[in-house]
Amino acid sequence: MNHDWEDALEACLQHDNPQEQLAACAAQNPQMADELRPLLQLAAQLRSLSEDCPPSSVGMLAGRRKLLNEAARLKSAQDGSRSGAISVWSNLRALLRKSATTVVLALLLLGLALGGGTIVAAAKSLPGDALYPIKRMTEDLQLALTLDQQAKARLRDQLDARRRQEAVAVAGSQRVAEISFRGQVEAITDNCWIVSGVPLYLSEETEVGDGVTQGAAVRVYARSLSDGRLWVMRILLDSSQPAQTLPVKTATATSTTTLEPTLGKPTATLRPASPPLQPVSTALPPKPPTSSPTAIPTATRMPTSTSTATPIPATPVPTREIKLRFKGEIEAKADDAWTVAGQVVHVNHDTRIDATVAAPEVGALVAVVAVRHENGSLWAIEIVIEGPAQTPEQAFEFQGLVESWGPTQWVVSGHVLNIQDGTVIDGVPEQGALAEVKALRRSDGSLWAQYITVTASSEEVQFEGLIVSLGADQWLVDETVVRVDALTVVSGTPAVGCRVEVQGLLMPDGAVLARKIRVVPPPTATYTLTPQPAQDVPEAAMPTVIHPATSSAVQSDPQTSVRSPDGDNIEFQGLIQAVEERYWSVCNRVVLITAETYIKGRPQTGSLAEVKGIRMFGDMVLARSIVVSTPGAFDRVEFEGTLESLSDGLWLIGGVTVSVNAVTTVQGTPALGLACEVRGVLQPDASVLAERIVIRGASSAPQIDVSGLVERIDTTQWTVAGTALAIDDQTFIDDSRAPAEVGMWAQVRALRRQDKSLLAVRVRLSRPN
Amino acid sequence: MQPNDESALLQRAREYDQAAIAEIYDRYWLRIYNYIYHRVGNVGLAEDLSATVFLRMLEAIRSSRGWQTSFSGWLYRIAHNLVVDHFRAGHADRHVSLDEQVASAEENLADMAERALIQQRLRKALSQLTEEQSLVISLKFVEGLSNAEAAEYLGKSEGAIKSLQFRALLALRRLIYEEK
Repeated sequence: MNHDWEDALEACLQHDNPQEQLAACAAQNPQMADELRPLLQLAAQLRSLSEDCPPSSVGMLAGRRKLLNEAARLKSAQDGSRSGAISVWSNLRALLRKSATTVVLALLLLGLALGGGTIVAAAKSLPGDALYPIKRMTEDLQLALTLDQQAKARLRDQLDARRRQEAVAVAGSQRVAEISFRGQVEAITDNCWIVSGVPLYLSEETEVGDGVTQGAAVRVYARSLSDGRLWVMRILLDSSQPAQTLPVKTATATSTTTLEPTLGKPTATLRPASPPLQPVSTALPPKPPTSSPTAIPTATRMPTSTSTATPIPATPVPTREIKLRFKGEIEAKADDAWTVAGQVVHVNHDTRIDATVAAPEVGALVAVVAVRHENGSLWAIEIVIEGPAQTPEQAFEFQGLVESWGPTQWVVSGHVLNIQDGTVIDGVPEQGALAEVKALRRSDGSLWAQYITVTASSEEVQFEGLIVSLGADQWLVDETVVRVDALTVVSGTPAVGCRVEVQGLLMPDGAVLARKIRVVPPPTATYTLTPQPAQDVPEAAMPTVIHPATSSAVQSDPQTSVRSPDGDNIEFQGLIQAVEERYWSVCNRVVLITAETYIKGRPQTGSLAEVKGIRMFGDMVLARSIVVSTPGAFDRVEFEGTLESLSDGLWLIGGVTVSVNAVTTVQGTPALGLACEVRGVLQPDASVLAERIVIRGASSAPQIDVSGLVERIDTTQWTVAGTALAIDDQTFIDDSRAPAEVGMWAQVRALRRQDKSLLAVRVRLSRPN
Repeated sequence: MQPNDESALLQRAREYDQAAIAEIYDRYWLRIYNYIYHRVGNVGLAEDLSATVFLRMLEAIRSSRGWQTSFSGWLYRIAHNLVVDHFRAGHADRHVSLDEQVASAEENLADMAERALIQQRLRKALSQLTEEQSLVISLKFVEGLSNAEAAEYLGKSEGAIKSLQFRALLALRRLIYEEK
């Protein structure tokens, strides 16, 4: 019988239209057709394997060259004139041969030292396999969506650092991989360079780009081998980044004929406008603006046993730079970049910061001397703080426990309060008593108390619940607001959905000021994300299930989780906020839909979706199955969403109209763009009568939708349904259905910017009604 | 390649003739690379293992450890053994994508994720097939060879290839079903 089946399979595979052939087969033997169908599907998937990722010609040619070198060496040995030279490749090959033993031994030793779970957890944290490109794509998306230039520069630096961490991790795990990252050359020795902390090895085949010297900003293309090292294939100047030491117009070239690191001494010779081509000259690194001339090794390659002259990088052409001066207030300040008078200026350890007049804090007046590089970035040479911050005093109110008190200073929940003549103190202070404080925060950060009301020692409470939301100073555990301050001791890794034990003091408003929070470990998980043995899953990675009719989030049963080679499994329920062909928005999460996604029910905005899938990155979920149900009128529902509009008694949250009345408890201060959790009762008109709304803080959703009447049109700003929306030349205004006039109906998709303002990406106009 | 032609080429390669070795490399490298790549899913690793295949060939070409019937089949077997060694050494599913493929902006993210998952599953299942099953799947579906060509590569009859192909697909289906 098997022969018949083999022949039938072959016939289908050979046929131009296998399905047609299968249908013919089914007419004669339905059972055979049923058996063959999945095999044909498999064959089609196998064929798709050949479509991806062609090999690189570089790899092919490198292998060819190595093979021929080895053949020459063998022939030479055969001829009895074996050369003493042992090529680097031979060494690598030997290492490759040893790799299996080395890896097994290393893993065993590590296993003994750390335990299997630690190793697996560490391996899991590395960039992952086939889904790695998606991670990169998501990062690109994140970069594109970051509009603030300072934040973008910071993000880019973070991503560069991540690449370097990956490089180190990949090398450390003795994987064979190709890696590319950016960094600055920090040290050059014979065959080992340090680029932004990453040790790299150079071989005779390494291509060193022109002008690559110590301090240069470079892009590295390296390969990690099973010897645990990163071998550089190419190292090139990174034109998008400035060198760590700013280039100046004085430089010289020093002749060298040695492969050893060359000690160059800068001279005052002016570089010719067009540097002469000198094959044996090497570029000196740019002179640091503040340091005296020092011996700096030049870029060199790994010495080899052959006498072949190593090509020396040509003298680099100095980059064009424009020096400029400007003054202004510090608007934002990070370690590596400041915003001064609206301009982002990078600072590094060479930047001279003169803080003799005042502290370099936000609001301070500064004078900046900077150079603008060809890529437009500004790099500060000098920043002089000319005046202190003029920030007015800000009101600061809080509740806390009295820790100490005196005539001039109190400490309440870690806050140091200065007492002045006008400070009104109500009540008798005692250790552990609850104090309500109204104070003014001055520009130097000091707090000056205006009113302190001390009440009797508050009641101690202890309870257990699930984290519904996490904030910097306030969490929601089940339905209780839990305040955390400097004295709160948190053990474990808290994450939304985790169970926690809270010990604290009951505050007059019903919140609990936590003294201790312990994250209760989840039941032992048996996630099998890879074919490796069962591994521990970090608490923060545990998926959550949010039940629509309860206020709690519970751990999903890991035993029932869908297996996946990568990513975390997730199950959740929520209201559908948007339905597109390829993705839905459910509960603020982007749910990717593929041909493999099983969908039950008719999806529409406002319906309830029960999603099972694989969490990819951020709030993105690859859906495996979705069950859609329509909650009936007067059902209790719970959902999350971004606050899109606010009017008297009616809010729009995540596309759902929410009625707010006297019985609604609102926790937090509502503001457009903030993420909210809503619990309430569904009404016949599909709106929700809210029982409780928790304002969580900044929404993770990068975009929000606003609909309503156009109330005002200015050149750079529109007002739609009371919401101010910035308009720029990238905003697409679809006026095909109605003119862009006040009174028209507008559906706006907007991005939330760092300053919380909204930038309209698309405005679709239509006539009212 | 005609048998006589190949035989003469291999004879020259035994003498470490550079031109002959280069020609062998150029003829077989892509197929060997593809075979390895579709098991490890990692460009750099596939390139390194491919290079090792040819170095192993060079080491063994003068010894009795060389091929018996089909030179190409022998090369595939070296490749297969290297892949198996690689997985046995505990490197399975732990490789970073070497090429840092950047998804095209047009490609749908969901499709890309789906494709990546399917391919990962397929590669894993392929690595668990027997040597012959793995070879025939690779030659027929990834390389696109006909039964006659695959038979020549593996030194088997066309009927044997057909049978092997059927069993290999059944085994693959079972492995993937178990994985799911």
